[in-house]
Amino acid sequence: MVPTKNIDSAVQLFKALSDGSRLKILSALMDAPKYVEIIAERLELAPSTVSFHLKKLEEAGLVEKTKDQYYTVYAINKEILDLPLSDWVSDVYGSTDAESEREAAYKQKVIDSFIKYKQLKSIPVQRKKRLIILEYLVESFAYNKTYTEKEVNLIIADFHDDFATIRKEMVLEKLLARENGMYWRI
Amino acid sequence: MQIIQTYQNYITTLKAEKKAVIETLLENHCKDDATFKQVELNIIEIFEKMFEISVKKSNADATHPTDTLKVTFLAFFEKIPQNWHTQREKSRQFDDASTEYTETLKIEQANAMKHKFLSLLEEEAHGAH
Repeated sequence: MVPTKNIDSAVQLFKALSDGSRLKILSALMDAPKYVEIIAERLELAPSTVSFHLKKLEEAGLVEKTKDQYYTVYAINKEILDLPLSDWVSDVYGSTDAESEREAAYKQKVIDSFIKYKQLKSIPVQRKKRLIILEYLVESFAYNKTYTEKEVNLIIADFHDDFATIRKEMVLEKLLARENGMYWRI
Repeated sequence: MQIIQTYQNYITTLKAEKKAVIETLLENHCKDDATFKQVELNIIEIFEKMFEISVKKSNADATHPTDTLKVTFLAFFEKIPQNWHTQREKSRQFDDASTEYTETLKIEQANAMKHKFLSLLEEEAHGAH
């Protein structure tokens, strides 16, 4: 499968390629698909290390895995590897949605830095970042549904202990509306 | 106690080996692997400090210094990796391969150091009899 060529997938691909061990693994797969253990033996690396690198290569679309009875076999994704470098570069530059992609990438970066395993590590101090996080949290609320304050608190508490501050911020930022003790998503 | 010097020598050698591997990996542009070795080196240094603390505590115990060293040092191997196990479980649930691998390396490095300590204790006990 060829991943969509946008700035994120291009950066992921180049990052995957910018490591000596991963290049060696790709090289080892050039002649034929192989099991993790065979690659590990050939490259004198621990199987767990090879698995880690293969996961990175797989995420970038550079390798594909198939199940062979009990084992997983990895193979080069020739569709990606045979693409000219200029295809990646020109597609990234020529994207009509480049601005919105950059914005989406920034939002994702903020979410990744503040949210770990569905837990909010801390409430961002900077308003722009705080708003991104609040928008992320408000996704847990359905449209066209009213919530009691207790229900709102419980939903937010799944992410962070300071549900009162977050609840107030959501109202201030007009992500939630409040009337007569009931809340709903705007 | 002979074990103190032997274990300190083991840590010194381990650190030197790790540093040499990191240097080689960086020379070969294997940055991720070098980072993983650095993680292992950090763990070695954490338990080096814990060993120093345990030695100090055992020196203060005139009656059972070996027992104090054993109990104090082994307790660190129970307490410190607890969070690593939790993080590894969470990373598995969220398919976060990078964190899972890092936490596994930390746990394995700590285990290797614990087993070395236990085997030295055993050797010392046999030598004494």
